[in-house]
Amino acid sequence: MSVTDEYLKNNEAYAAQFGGLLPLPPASHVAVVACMDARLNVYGILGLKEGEAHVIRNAGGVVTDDEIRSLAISQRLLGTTEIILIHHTDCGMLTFTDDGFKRSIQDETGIKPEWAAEAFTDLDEDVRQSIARIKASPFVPHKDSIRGFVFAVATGKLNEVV
Amino acid sequence: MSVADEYLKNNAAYAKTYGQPSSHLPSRHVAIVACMDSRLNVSSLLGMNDGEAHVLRNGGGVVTDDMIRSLALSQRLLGTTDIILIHHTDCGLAKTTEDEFKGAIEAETGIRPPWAVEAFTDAAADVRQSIGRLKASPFIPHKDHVRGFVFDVATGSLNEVI
Repeated sequence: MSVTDEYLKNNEAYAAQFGGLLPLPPASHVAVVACMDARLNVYGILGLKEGEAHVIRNAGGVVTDDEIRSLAISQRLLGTTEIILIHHTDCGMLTFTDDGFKRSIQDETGIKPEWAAEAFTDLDEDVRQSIARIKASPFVPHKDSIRGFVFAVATGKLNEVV
Repeated sequence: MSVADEYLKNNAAYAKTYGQPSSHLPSRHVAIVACMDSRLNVSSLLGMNDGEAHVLRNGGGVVTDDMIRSLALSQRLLGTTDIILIHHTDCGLAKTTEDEFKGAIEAETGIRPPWAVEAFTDAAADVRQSIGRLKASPFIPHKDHVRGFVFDVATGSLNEVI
């Protein structure tokens, strides 16, 4: 049985206990932007319940055009006003460089990705970089409540980046 | 107290019982690409434990360049081989169009976003579109185990897209 099939069996149990339809707009008016890392259970870390917040995740939790697109939809169509960013310690993005990663792909496939890998060397600085990208975007209307954190994977704690 | 402050209180409780996963590498070698929708608690609906899978999420769960970037890092640096896509019923992106959403932003800010909104009309067709984009990418090495689903927000069930 593949992992996917195992997860599908789990889903049958989930659906059997399912609480029913919730409204489409997030009840807490919050959008979370976090890293895709397997150790970040965003619902557990923040105590989120289903229906409360949008959860947007990619490699690094960095703000790219796709996060801007998602935040624009979140705020303009679905009424969120607050943004919470979560990066984390021991992140894979700290372990390579954009040049090295793109070079390795080019060596293997002959094609150099046209996108940035978004590697970084300092977590706090990258959180600030992500906040600055949101603030610079003309497409995200609500920017008064943006807070950024680094999740410590060793302790489970969020530490705010000021 | 802002919502973020409330979530920080929740995090203090979370950290007390937190057990750090043993590795930064996803133990089940899976990457999930899902919509940011607040009703999709991905870990719960798949019955995943912390540390098992990367979780990538954006508006729609659509495969954009940022998802390709994240999946390339997930597979090439962090050892995942399987991909699970999750769209869902009652999605906000099925309730707008490219021109309507971008026109509204242009009318308000004077600037038309250079990116696609990725609106769609049929969730299953959009899952197939996302799988097609993955399979067409030269940057994703492992494409033999890609499966797509539509999550039913009324019942909690996953329905596979064939």
